[in-house]
Amino acid sequence: MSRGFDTERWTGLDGLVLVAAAAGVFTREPSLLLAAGLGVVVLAYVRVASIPEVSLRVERDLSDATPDPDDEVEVTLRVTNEGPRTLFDLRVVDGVPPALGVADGPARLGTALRPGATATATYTVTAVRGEHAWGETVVVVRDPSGAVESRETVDAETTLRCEPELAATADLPLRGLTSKYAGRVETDVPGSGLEFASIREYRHGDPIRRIDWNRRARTGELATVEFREERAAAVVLVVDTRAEAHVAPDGGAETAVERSVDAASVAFSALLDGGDSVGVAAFGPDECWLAPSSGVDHRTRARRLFATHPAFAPTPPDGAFFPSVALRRLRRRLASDAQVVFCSPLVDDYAVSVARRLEAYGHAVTVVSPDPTTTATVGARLARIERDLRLRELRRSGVRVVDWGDEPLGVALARAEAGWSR
Amino acid sequence: MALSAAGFAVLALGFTTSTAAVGGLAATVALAAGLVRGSRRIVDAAGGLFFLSLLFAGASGAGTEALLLAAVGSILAWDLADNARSVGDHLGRETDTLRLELVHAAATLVVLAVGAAVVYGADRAAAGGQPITAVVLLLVGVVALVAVVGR
Repeated sequence: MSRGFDTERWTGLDGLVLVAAAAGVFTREPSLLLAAGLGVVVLAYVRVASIPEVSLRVERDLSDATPDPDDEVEVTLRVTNEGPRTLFDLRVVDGVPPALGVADGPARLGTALRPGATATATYTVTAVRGEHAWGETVVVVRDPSGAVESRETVDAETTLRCEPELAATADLPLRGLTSKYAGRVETDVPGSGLEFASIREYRHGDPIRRIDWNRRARTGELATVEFREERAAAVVLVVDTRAEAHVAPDGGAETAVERSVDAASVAFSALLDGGDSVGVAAFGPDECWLAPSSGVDHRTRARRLFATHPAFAPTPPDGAFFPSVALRRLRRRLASDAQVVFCSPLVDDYAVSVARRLEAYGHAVTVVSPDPTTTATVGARLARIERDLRLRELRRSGVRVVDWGDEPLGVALARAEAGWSR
Repeated sequence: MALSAAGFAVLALGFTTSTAAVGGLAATVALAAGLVRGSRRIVDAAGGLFFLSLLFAGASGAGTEALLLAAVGSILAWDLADNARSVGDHLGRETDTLRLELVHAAATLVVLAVGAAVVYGADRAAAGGQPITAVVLLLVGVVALVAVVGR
């Protein structure tokens, strides 16, 4: 038996009882004295109030523990009274992970429970990318009069893991910086390939298949046809995960980090399919680095990384961040022939300087920038103009920029590609 | 949440027999406002109004039975309203808490009914002449009880 703490619900009743009794005496009305007597009974009831030992078992069932993004997952919360006494007033609030939104039905429960009885609450959450663990369930127990209350927490471990498939829904065109391996990026290097580049004088040792026989027949000279050589690129997808990048047009919308991670995972898959070696890095307080590579294992690793790495969590990070240190570390890790695809909403000037610096160090940079701005207020419009100016500044310094608004990523890429010089 | 409407009904019934019906009505309105706003202060003020109406009714010579019923109704109405408010605070308004509130209402009602019966029984037993000494003794008893029971 524990007393719990006083809710101070009935405070002052004793005073009222005394006033009623005194009034009864002064007016010589027996009915008022009787009412005071009733008050004394209530006071006694409150006085004996106590809370039995609370022993609860909490279980949680998910209709699907590994859903796809935006799937509705039904959560069944089961609370069983394992103590020997009835709990007259039981209030349960479930610890839903902060990143998951409750779509339907409250994640709370209020009931009275006999020993051994079970109460259930059912609610649905909408799955978002990531690994989400349920927190402690808060239980408030009151005695029947409500005079005392005790508060405890019960833990039931439940984890929901949502790993999106890496789908190549849009092709990200790369820039000319390539590695020495054969691939799909057309370079200006003449050699073997598909697209015609030039004709040059025959040199000893040129393959017979590349000799221009028409010319030989016409003029009697030997000439060699050259094609644009196609090579593979090494690409590192850098996602801006700083607290500054956790911005969204409104409370319910996806944050720019979410969209950046989406863009990066689409680009990852497309580039890997194209034979390039692709790496992943996060530019933020939580460090994350996956060196460029290729193959099935690499794809699986990246899928897990995008889904569950804390750096890509949908909630803002709270650790301290030293951007110049992080940038130096990133630069050391980048091979000299690595291209960079930087996914950032570009809502502050530092993101621009990151892109410009990487470009200056010789990594051909492409910026994919999800647009989080709105036109709702004057301040929002100002933010949008500032962002537009940043994009313009980047384009002027030779960085390719994809401005990604509300449309699908593929549309934004096609529109941006039309404006790029090769 | 709407359960305390039952409390109001009981209470209105208790008050129609007395001249303090107006006070009871005002208190009921205040109680409803407190519930809508979810404010503890307004609910407590409504409780105070109930108490004043009871005092007035008692002082102006209401019948014993009517006053006891009114007191039961007032305490029940305030208790249910305050409980509903606290449940609303903890669990939000959209949660289904019918069972919780029913159990609470039943517990309070039983205690009040038993209390009223005991008090009324004692009154009947002691009926007859009412010498002032008895009244004073009763008063001393009440004060002693409150002192023992109060914390």
